[in-house]
Amino acid sequence: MKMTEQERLQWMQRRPRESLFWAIVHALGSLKMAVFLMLVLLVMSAFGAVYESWSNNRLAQAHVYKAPWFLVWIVALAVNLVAVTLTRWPWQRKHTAFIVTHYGIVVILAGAFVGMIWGKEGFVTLQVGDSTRQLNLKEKVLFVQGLGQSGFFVVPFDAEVAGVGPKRPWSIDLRSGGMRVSVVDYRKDLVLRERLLEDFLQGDGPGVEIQLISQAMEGKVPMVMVLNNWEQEIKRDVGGLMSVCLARKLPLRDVGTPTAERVPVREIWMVFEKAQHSPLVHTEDPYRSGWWVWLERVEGLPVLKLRNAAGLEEEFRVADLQNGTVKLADGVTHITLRNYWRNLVLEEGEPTEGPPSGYNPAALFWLETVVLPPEAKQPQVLVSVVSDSHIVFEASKDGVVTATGQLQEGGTADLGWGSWSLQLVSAAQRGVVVFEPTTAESANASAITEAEAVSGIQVVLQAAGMSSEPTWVATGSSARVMLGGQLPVTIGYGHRIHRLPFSVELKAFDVPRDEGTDTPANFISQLVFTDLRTGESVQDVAKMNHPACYPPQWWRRFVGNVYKFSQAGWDPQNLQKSTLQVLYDPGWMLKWVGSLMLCTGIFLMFYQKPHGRTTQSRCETPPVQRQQASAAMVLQTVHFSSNTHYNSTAYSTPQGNGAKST
Amino acid sequence: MKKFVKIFAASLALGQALAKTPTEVLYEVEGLIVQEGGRKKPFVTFAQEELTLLHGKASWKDPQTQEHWSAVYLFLDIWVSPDRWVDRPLVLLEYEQLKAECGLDLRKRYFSYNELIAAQRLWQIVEESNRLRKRDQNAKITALQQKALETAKKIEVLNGLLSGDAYRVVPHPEGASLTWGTLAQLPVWYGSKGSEVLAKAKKFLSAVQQGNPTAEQVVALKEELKRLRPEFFPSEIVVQCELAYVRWHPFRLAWICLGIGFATMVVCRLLQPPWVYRIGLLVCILAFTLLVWGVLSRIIIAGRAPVTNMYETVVWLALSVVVFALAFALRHQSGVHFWVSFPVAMVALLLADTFPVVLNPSIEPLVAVLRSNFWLTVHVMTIVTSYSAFSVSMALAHVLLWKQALSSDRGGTKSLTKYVVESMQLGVWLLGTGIVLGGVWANYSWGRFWDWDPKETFSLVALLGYLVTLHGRRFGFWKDVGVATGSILSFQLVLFAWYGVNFILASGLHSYGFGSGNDVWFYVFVAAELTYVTVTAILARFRAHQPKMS
Repeated sequence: MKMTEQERLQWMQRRPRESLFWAIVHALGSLKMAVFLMLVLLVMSAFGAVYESWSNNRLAQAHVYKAPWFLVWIVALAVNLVAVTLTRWPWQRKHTAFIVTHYGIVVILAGAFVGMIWGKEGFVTLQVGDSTRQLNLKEKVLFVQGLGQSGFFVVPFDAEVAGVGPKRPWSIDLRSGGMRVSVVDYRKDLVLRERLLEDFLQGDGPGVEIQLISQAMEGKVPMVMVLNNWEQEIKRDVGGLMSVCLARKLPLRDVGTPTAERVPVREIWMVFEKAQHSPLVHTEDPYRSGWWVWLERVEGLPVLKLRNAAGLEEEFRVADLQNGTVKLADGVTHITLRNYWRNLVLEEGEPTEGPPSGYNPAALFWLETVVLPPEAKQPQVLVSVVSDSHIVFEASKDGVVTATGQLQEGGTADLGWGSWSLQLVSAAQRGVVVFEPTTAESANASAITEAEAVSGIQVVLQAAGMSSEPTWVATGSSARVMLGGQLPVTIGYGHRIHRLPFSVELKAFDVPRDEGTDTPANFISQLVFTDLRTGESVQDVAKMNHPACYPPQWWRRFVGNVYKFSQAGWDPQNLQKSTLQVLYDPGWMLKWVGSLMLCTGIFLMFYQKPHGRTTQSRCETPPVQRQQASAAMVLQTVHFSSNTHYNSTAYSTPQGNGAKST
Repeated sequence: MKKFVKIFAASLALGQALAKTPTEVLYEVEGLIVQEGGRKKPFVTFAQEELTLLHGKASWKDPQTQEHWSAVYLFLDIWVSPDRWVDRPLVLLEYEQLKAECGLDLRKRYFSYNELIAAQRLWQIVEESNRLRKRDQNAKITALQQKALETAKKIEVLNGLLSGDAYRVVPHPEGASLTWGTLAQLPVWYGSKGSEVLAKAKKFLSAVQQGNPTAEQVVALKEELKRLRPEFFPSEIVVQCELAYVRWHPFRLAWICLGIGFATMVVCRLLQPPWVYRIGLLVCILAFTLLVWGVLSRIIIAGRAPVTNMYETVVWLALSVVVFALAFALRHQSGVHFWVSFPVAMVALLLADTFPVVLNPSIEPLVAVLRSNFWLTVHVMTIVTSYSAFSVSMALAHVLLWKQALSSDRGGTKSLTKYVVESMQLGVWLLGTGIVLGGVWANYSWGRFWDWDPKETFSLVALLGYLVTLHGRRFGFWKDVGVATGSILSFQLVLFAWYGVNFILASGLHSYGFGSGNDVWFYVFVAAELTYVTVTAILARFRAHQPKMS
């Protein structure tokens, strides 16, 4: 079908009137449509970016960029792009750049859609030595287990995107038993509270859950301690105030028994009358005497004054000290004057008596005493488990036992120091520590300030007019909910799990630093992939800007038929843990080809010699065609099967490992 | 006992007044190598960067004597007698709310170490925000907390200086990338050899204290230190290159050159029009040379492409604006490209030179995600180059609008429109390619092509702005005034993608570019541009509808 340029132009003008197909093509491919689509897309994207800064990336993705209306808009744009190229049909050589550019965008969009539908994206968090074949997909789900016959029930649900809160509960009816699960709250500031459980089969050694209660400070310090099978005792520090020790056996001593020996201390003091507040003190012993000494002039005579922490005060005339060692009233402290200068000067670095005209009194003396080591002074509680419901305890302070006795579950005992008392919540002979999510308000504030916050949902199970207690479920874990006297139902919330066709193991994780700083220079995960059918293993390294790929064949990498593991997150507190972002993207090659088409297309369009920007070429097209032609050019506007960067969020949600739940 | 008395004796010896250190000594001290901030740098860079961080400027003025202290002089003095500096106002703190909260004097801009250490409320805020960050790394913190953290960082830096820990001049004997030590490490790491060097260093430092140091002492000390582990020191060429860069400020020379050039062109236009083009050409080549010198220096010093922070992109913009001006002017034999490009490049360089707090000029190692990546370099360079093409187009559009709206001389609008479109097209190609390259890079390093990150999104938004402008013109929706308006409006989107996303939205993955900026000026600029466009476009339209007068 060879036609002249004249015939072609005439046909192009005529065809929308003659054929419905061409009428639609010309309408969809009109420039007005293109400019309109682009302008609206511009506003929508800009709004999305601003919305993201108000909320966060996930919400912006869910409510703007990946919302159905946005996708529809992009499809409309793709249709416009295809239609506009058809309006130039039959194509000529001069249209090459135009077509390449516009189809470049269409190809990229196609790649994005392929990736969105058939691709997989998620993350794995691994400890060194761990191996897994579970991929946490980005999508969040709610799952319910233990519903009689039907067993397992999974529904896509994202509490944050759904905007669940006390005023906006979300519920779903389950297929069996007329049950209904309601999510009544979602919070990001939950804390995991330790609880003690007795487990005769798999528990560790003896354990206690106690609370230290201070009436004066109106505070409670909850504490759970469990001895491992090989441990004789464990010790916990309570904010530097006191320590609590759980031991297998306790030496039960009477109140008033000393708990530690006093140790000798010798200090060398240099005191100045003109600088009473800046003495120079030196000691080689690990502790300080607790005395404060200064030099004063009383009735024209130099006097050494001393005061200790207990408020005891003494004073000696320097003249009286010249005779040798003097014992203080506390009975254990001695001072020995070594030297006294009326006018101290430095001569060649040595302190010397200066000319009588000057006046700068100073004294050098030794102070010897015995002190209680600070650790013995600190309040301490020792507990030991006797049975699964009671314990014995001993409290001590300032080196003396202050209280001792037995405690039943629920009982409280005074510790003999101020307003503090000890309450036994529960005891276990074979205990395990479990973590239970709870709100920061209901947990004790002082105990959780340092803990990492987790997110979670509060669920209520309803059936036949009954409701369960509201139960918190941390993201990435599950909880058992009881409804009346029925069997418990397990409700979980977290990422949807995808089973990989292979397993991946983290062999080593390394974070080299910039020279002389703590700034990470790279993150290097050594990975081992094992094919589950053949059992063959392959090693690869995921570094910053260098993902590891599996299966290893090069051509798979080229066409995108490969799982890519990119370094995505780390935990400064735990250098054995690495988070990898995993992507399987079958649309990968389309995106690349499209990108290449786009770049060359635009370049050719503006700089191609014969039909470039020159005004002549534009005049070739009749005015009508000009009105009708092209459309959107570059459009990256898609869903390039995206991923959040899991740099930190991944760590704020424990993935169920380590956090058993009740 | 004896040791104790010695310590006591030394404590009495402090606190004597210092004599001034001679200039030639300071000149030699500039080249002393210090390890800081993840690289080894000359003392002058170290001092200027740290002082800029603390003080907002690279020099310090004594409020009592009105005497100016260069960074090197100041840092040498802190090294020798730190006690003198604990009460001197060195730390810049401008945020009123924080000052009020901490009970600091609202009228003062600079505070001393002791003043800030004593501000208990400040440390409470710091502790609260650290706790917040620890619990949730993404927790949004208030501006007050942000400023408190910044101030705490400054105090930490100052603490390092006052304690002497920051003066790490002794190479670690076991590895090039291990942490260097202070002078006190010399005998520990190098035994008797180290003790000898330490003695020399001490001699120099006490000479500084007594006011009689000599340049020879510094040269000898530098040599001795280097002789310990010469292979761990940066090569002499790099050091000299950096010293020249720091001493001469090629970017400052460039904006001065552009400014003088522009002024000369104004004068010449009044006297000798044909000379304007020739002067423009000369100035352009000169500025280009200076900028290339500066950029090359940074490449040599850092060993990477200089397009990784706001400062470097601004400088790169200036360089490519100058290149485009040269290319377009030569191609069209037009002076207008010089007229519009010089102010653009000059403003960019001036901003980079005057706001070190917002546009940080220090050369730092890259954050891990940007490291050793070919695609990154190409991606950022392409995008920033496209910004400069757009800014040339924007500047030309201003002239075009002016001519259409107000000027009595309306000739040459056709070629002006052509120039506006030409640089816009170049920008579209570069930006489109840059975005795609960004996708390629992101796919490679983050494992995804496009994810609606704010930076990605806004670069697309800016591109869409230009595409709408170009498509509309191509098919006659609008002509010269419309194109110029589109160019200026779209450039506001570019600015938002460039500055706004990092400083106003401050969210997203491109977080290595974040900082604290001064948003007010950004809004003022955008408002001024919008006013200009509205007024001139209305006037131009009004004129177009008036009957032609003879």
